[in-house]
Amino acid sequence: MSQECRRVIKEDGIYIFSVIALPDGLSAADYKLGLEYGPADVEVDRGYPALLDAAGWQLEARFDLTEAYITAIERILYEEKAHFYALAELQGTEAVEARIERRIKRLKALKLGVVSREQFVARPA
Amino acid sequence: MISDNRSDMVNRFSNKYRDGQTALCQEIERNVFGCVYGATSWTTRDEADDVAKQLGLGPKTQLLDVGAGTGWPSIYWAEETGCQAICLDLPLEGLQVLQRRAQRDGVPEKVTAVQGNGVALPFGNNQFDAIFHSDVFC
Repeated sequence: MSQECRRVIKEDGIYIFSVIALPDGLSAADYKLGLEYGPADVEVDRGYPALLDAAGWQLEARFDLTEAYITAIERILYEEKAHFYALAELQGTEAVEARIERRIKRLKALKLGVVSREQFVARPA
Repeated sequence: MISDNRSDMVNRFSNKYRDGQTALCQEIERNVFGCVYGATSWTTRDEADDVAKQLGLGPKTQLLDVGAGTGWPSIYWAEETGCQAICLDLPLEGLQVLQRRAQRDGVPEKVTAVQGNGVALPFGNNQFDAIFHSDVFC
């Protein structure tokens, strides 16, 4: 997708995106934990800076959004637990329970530092 | 033809967009993110305000939002900055919500919904001033 974005951007354009990712430099055990607790598509070969470089982008800045993500997950967990029965009526008990379980695992992974949310700012190289 | 995996993904998101229109999910979204767009990304209002500045959005900006879902934050940006937002995604359900919201917010001429795939963008070369996506696989 970053290659396609590079094709359609003007030469003086700007590209910003956020991703839930595995932080750089994780141990093998932490990497495995990050894969288990992160979203299905969390693994990216060689990481985002290399991916951007290969697609013809110059990385201009990189920001860690993990703290705000943790806050949002804590808030949504609070809300989903508070509205559990109404949500279960709408979406099914199993689905809501499974989602809450996933969020608890994600929160744990974020606090352990094995999953992060980052923002990348890039311009055409 | 959409593959089975992609079809599953589209169906999953379509369900989320449908649920997102209920009063219950809107209350939860408002309490968590500070606004209600039926969004599925983790972009908060504060983050959206920061990104708008970084992107330099203004009335002359052609913005492409890939994986736009129901239009958060592009509709908000179109309203706040006057930018022209092209919102691309696969699930029709989300794009229909997006169009209704743009109409309701008085910016239908500034927001265009396009059904398409981020890995094969249905646009010509060198067309956009700014591109954004949030929590979408690259």
